[in-house]
Amino acid sequence: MKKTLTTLLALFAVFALVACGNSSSQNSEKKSSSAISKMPEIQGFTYYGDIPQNPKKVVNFAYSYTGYLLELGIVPATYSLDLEKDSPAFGQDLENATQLTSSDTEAIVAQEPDLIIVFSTDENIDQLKEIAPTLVIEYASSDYLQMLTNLGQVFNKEEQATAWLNQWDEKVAEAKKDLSNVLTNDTSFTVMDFYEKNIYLYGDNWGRGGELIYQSLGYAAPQKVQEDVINKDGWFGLSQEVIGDYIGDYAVVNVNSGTKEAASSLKESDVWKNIPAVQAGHVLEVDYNLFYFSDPMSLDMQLEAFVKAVKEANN
Amino acid sequence: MYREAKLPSQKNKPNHIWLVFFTILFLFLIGWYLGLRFGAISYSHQDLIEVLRHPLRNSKLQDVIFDLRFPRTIAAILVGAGMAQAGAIMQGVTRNPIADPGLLGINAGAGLALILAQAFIGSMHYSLIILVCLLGSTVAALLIFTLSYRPRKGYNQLRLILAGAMIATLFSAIGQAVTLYFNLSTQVIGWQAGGLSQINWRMLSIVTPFILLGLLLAQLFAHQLTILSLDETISKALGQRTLAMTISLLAIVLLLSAASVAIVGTVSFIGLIIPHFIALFVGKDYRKLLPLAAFAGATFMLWVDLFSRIINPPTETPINAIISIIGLPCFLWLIRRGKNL
Amino acid sequence: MKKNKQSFSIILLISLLLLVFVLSLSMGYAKSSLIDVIEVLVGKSSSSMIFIITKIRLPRIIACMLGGASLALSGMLLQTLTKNPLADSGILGINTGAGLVITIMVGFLDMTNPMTIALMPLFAMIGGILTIFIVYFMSRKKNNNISPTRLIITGVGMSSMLSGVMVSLISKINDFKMTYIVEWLSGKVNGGDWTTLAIFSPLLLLIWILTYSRSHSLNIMNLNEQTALALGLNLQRERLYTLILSTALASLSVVLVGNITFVGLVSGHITRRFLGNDHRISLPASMLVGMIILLLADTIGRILLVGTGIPTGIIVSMIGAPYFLYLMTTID
Repeated sequence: MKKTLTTLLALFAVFALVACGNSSSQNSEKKSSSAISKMPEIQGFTYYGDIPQNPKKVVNFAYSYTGYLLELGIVPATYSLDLEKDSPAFGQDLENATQLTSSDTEAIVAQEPDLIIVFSTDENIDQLKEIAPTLVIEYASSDYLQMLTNLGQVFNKEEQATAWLNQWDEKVAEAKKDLSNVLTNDTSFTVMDFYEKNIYLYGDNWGRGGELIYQSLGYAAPQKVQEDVINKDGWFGLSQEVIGDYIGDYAVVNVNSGTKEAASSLKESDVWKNIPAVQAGHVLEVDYNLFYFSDPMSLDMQLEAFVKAVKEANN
Repeated sequence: MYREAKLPSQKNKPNHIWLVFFTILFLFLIGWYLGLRFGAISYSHQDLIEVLRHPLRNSKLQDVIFDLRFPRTIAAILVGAGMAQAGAIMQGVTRNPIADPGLLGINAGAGLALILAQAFIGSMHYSLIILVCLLGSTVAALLIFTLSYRPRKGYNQLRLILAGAMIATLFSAIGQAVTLYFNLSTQVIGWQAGGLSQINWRMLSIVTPFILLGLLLAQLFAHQLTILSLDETISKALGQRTLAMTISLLAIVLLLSAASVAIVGTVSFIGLIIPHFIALFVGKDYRKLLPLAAFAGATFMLWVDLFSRIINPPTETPINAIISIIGLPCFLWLIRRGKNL
Repeated sequence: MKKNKQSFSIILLISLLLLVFVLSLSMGYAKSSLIDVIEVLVGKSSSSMIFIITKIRLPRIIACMLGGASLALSGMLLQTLTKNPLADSGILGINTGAGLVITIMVGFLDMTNPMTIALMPLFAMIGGILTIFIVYFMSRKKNNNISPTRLIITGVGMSSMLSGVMVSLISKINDFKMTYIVEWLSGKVNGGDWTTLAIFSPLLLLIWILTYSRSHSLNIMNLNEQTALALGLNLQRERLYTLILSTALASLSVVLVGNITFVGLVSGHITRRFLGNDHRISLPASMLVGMIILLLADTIGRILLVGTGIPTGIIVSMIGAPYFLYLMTTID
């Protein structure tokens, strides 16, 4: 009994020392509030509080838009999805960012943010609203390019947005010319990834390269993909049996180290091997981490990677 | 050495067995036939016969039937049989109607092993995945055996079950922690949801020997199991070495369910419900119960797989969802019949 | 002599609790310490610190204490009821029973509406009670005895089945709430806001008092049946009361702190080991132990595991399961 007592007391003494040692008595000054954003009425954007025009400390949970923010010169202080940190396009800009989930209320407050950005489906919006001005964005409410313009309007960075969009149009036109000897506008692509026991196809607005290929570059999708994926939910889980019906000229497969071997059983089967695109060697394996998002920074790199992959597949 | 114990419930049921057998056989054959014919693509009767007659002629049809649907249906049969038998054996050994191979930590062990492997090795080829799962299940089961063994007192039902439940909870918690920490949710969820998609001949070749062996051994031990499932004092009085028998039977459970789980992921209910259904008709004579339960389990899985493929083609509905929807009412109905359990 | 030991233990427990409470309040992800807490009390602190301490930490700590104490209490009652030291609301399936009802409510209703929060306790209790009745009926042996083995197996089986159904159900009804339910199943302390606390604390306090008032009957229940009957105890009725009380406690707790198992088990065991079986002491003591355990686990989670999203329940399981196994191997 005595031994347990003494050990317990010792433990708690240590605890107490730790507790008292971590003081942060410095009273942090309120961030000098600069200009308030115009908060333009944009469909899918909801504003809570006074959104600053030049936020200094952004806590971002809307991971799809990290790249957009970075392109406009706003560096989030936090990230919520590992893929953000792993992105070859902008991961290094998040070097000093902390990983948080939207329910880590205390940590969020500790960041002392002047802006919180979050998806409309998040369940903690009510709490977040009370911590700092919050921008709530509904996913896919704006087109992937339009989103840049929208965010530009909110943060008074319209010029940067337009500049990027212009150079993007030029880059895309150039790439299309570059590839015109192997690809025409009718060449059909299918965008997919594999998870253990599942195959998913993506349309033109769910990342994985869909925006790049279908929208920017304007290539076609096989008819069944058009019907079942693009015209419906934008993504689609598929049975192996019919995968052949959904692949046209090229298949774009997203892989990364975590999913490399997934679907190996499919790839070893005749069903896969007998697909014309597979036989012609027109399966493009792209980096999942790069193609997951569809923001400007990712798009820039995706375009290069895509052009390279197509050229290699046609040698 | 002893006269065959004939349970009172059996004395009036000799004919039922054949009726049950033929009903299941009928359902089995239909289920298999439909499973081969329908799915994301529906083939006509003619097409199917053509392909079966000329198995080596290459065509898209042949690809789907032979590379995808055959291994898949065979896996359904094996896994259904294996899980149903494993459940029946567990119920007999523990003398409890709600015993399930999960209590031996099979699911939790395989799950944790898979998660750890994903975290540290990354993506794995399916053959490696199967091996990892088998290893995980075995380690969990061994751990449970060891923890519940007292040097001088031998095994005790209660300790075994408690150890099983605790290890399962612990592994499950660790698994979740690792998944969250390493952000593996998207990678492991497929396995956790369970399913027969993407099964090919190679996977079957790894797992089939285990299941067949287990089914065979189970049948050999069936009579012993019947005796064991009676009260402990009765079985001892009948001269049975209960300890050795318990361990052997549990080893068979491990064999059957680990192999099933490795190929299909976590699948619940089958081990729980099927044996009870069959026992309604056949009584608790395991020599008859085991093969029929296996047969019924196989049929059940065939149909469940069929449904998962035809409810919403070409998407496949997760198997566990279908089984839960069927299983829960069955379970409640079983409770109502409660007294005879 | 015994009295002295008992009072000493109670005082020890209370001081431990206070210590953990203060530590918990002072520590967290945000760099802070005791000094900050004092500043808040005195009113001299920065607004963000006040916000953190009063609106985030304090309600969460209180939720943990309420939940921990109630789960411990529920466990004690179940252990006395089934005469089995291994009973616990999570193991017997009560938690997931309440959880199923919670799933249905979360799927169909708006969780921020105070009316919903007010109705939760009632429905959660219904879920818990239904489940424990089913478990009880399924595990009864032919002569109406409760075999501990059967009870536990049935509880575990029921529990895993219900959690499977919960996940399937929520994915069909309202896929967005899937994370909520999955986190609930792992034991996430969600009740840390003042609205929920305002509704639940009076309920729980009431039940605590009701439970304590039954201590005498509980002591008698511990004796064998004949003695109990001879002492004039209406056994059936007492058992029913105890069952309902413990289910209510567990069901309400899991609304606050999620599906946390083991607290009842571990605190019941510790309390009985050091303080014996007199419910008049062991009930309050186990409540204190339960509070300490849950508070500690939650604090550890809050400090070390931010950003990972690992819920408190997992930490409790990781402490509880090995403890339980250790128990099993050292005692018969």
